[in-house]
Amino acid sequence: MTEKRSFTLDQQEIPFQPGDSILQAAQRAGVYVPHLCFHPDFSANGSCRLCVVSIAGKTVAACHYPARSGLQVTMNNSRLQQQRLRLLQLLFAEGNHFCPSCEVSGSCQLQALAYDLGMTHYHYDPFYPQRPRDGSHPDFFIDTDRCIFCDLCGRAGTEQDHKPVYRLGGRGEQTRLLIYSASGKLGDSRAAADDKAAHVCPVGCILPREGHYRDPIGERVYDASPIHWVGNRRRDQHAAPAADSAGDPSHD
Amino acid sequence: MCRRLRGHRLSYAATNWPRWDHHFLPWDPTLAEQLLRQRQPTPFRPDWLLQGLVTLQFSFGQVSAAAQLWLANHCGVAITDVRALMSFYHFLRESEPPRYQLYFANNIVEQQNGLEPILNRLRSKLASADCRLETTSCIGQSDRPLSALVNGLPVVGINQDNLDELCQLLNSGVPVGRWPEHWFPPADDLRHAGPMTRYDYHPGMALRHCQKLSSEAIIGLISQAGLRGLGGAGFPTALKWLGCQHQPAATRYLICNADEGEPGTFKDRYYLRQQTDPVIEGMLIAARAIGASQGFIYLRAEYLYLYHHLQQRLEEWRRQGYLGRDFDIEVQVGAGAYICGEESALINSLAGQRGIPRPKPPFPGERGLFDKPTVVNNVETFAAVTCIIQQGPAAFREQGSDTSPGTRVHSVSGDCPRPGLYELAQGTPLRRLLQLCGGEQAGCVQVGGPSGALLFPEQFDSTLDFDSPGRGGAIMVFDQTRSVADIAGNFTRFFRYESCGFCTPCRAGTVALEHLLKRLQQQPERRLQAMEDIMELSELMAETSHCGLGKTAALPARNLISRWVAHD
Repeated sequence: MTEKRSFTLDQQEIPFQPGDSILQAAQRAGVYVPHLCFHPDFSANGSCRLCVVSIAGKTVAACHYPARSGLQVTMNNSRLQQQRLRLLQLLFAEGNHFCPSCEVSGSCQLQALAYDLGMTHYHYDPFYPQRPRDGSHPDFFIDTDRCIFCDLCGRAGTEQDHKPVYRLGGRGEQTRLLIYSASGKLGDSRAAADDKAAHVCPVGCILPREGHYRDPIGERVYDASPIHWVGNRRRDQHAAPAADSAGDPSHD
Repeated sequence: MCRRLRGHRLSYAATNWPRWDHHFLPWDPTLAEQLLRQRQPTPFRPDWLLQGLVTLQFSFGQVSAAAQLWLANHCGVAITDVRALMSFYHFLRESEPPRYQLYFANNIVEQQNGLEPILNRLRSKLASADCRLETTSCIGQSDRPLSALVNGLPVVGINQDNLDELCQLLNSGVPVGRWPEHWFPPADDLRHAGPMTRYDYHPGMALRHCQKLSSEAIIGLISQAGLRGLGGAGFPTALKWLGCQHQPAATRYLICNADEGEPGTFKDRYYLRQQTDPVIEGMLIAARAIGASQGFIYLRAEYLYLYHHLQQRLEEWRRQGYLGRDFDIEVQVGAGAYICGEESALINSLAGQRGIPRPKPPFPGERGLFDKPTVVNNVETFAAVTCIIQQGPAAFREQGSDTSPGTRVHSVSGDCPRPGLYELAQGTPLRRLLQLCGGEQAGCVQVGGPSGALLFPEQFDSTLDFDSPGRGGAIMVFDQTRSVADIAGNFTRFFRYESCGFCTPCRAGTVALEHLLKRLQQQPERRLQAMEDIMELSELMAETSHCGLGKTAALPARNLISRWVAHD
């Protein structure tokens, strides 16, 4: 008989497959680990650090840490929750986030996590960065004020669309989203309406031009229930681009 | 009419890049290709993209938009990939170069040695000169303040008395390589030599000995010596080698980390210039021990002036037949990014990428450069390897402690009459070093660079080794007039500037930390809250950051608060 492959996450037993990270195994078991830069379809990045968990007193990123039999992983204690809250507040402070007027309010993972963790204010002084916008593409608008540098668009482009459109450049606080085109504008790039890369943004940085208010605010994926209930459901899975056609009778 | 010299195409010989005896050249694709091919027979590869940019930068003084496009097309990459590198490495510049590009180090030691007044005077005197004055984190000359890189060449000992002479030169148009000799760093000498720097070194002797040994036996000798990585982390060298040697792989790489970027450190400058052969021989021994087929020296751009010398020594080892058959060494040059001293960021940089640290595991010994098992060791570690093999591990163990055997070279700068390099046994008390350098009256001492520890007189008996706070390495001495808040502020700013920007706690945390330090000083009514916030943020960064930079970036601010709390 082979040894059973499982570890415990907050006392709950989680089975895993060889090669799984803690986050992958938890997600397969239906357990939500807070995250922003992780997506089940793409390689892990480990930049947002929201998925921090504690193993034998050491804080690690669950999206990278390899699952091993017998591990005892702590995800939800007050210290880790407080650290996640502060990380979110840092993300809010370093960008320019205007939730009440944002097209993706209610389906934004950053906003949803902030509500879920009880965030009521920024805590840190806002950085007020000057960041560019790009309205050159017929299907998408880019507002880098909201970018959290998760590189999901870059990874989706490489791993699924197999064409480069987005990537990160710069360094430190000057890190920025770059577009693959001679002009640096999205309109001159190979971006197309049904690119996975354009629909995987966890925030409102890469915005389809149409259809934002098809689902009214208040009825969106994270409006009805907190993100830790909705679990791993995402905007890009909730409304697949194919169903976005204007003549779709389900939206009549 | 172009003011820069023309007609230099023919004067370039195979190994004499870079050159400082003329000004930056005007952009010329034919010349550019010639220059690149002199450094590397097959330069137009994606993984050599960064090296291409560095070569262009230090030849033409810029990488113009046209040059970027030219290189991207030749390497078969998108222009956006070039832009990603240009915007990460701060020595890479797109804009038209001035005749003289000056980078002053703005480490705390330089700040305390009158950096601002000198810069202000220079700015007013050079208003009409074709100069650009900027600052950078550290150029590895903290023992010779003030110092600046002029078009990439270090110019040292700048002070109020010789500022007029400097301005004359900057107005004269004389290429920096033809300036009077006294402006350049003299050959390094140690203030205090020891068994690793003053033994009777016989080139090739240790290597010939190793050629009779199995790789296990070589690693065994290093293990017996108890050598720990001298870059600062102190990881056992034999374990690192073993981890790589054990991997089933046809190709393994060896890297010499010469990206010495910790402000206040300059020992590698000495090793690369004065102990070049022991360093190269140590690499040959390591390559044999782990079975590496290709080696690299990753040289920080601030030490570009040592590039030519390194190439000459490597050529000599090739001529002797030790290099170039089953193992060769290529020198690659950084472009101004402290984070590239972190071994996995360095590996990404060597592969022509932005210097973002990789997640660990896997460690480089398992999956490193081009995903092959890779060992990265510090310059001094390789010198120690040669010493250990030639002299025997027992001789190495004669000094130092059981857990930190041997000696290491400390870089001393700041308020003391005898700054410079000191080789001391591991475990030597800090107080002893302060006596040697004349810093006994210090008010506090930063040990181990900005990511180390700030020690006060009651802690001066603590020892310099891998088991003590700060661990040694860069020693910055501060007299009693220096403000601890200024020191913490300078180091915090340094980490903010050098954060790679990958993870949230470091990218945004270093900025928030500086805001909080400012609040601490400017808003007394919010002081208590700021202190609490700094302590909390420092823990957040230490625990959740992706790599060592973020984990240590808040230590200076944290130490400042702890000190205040203890003395209020």
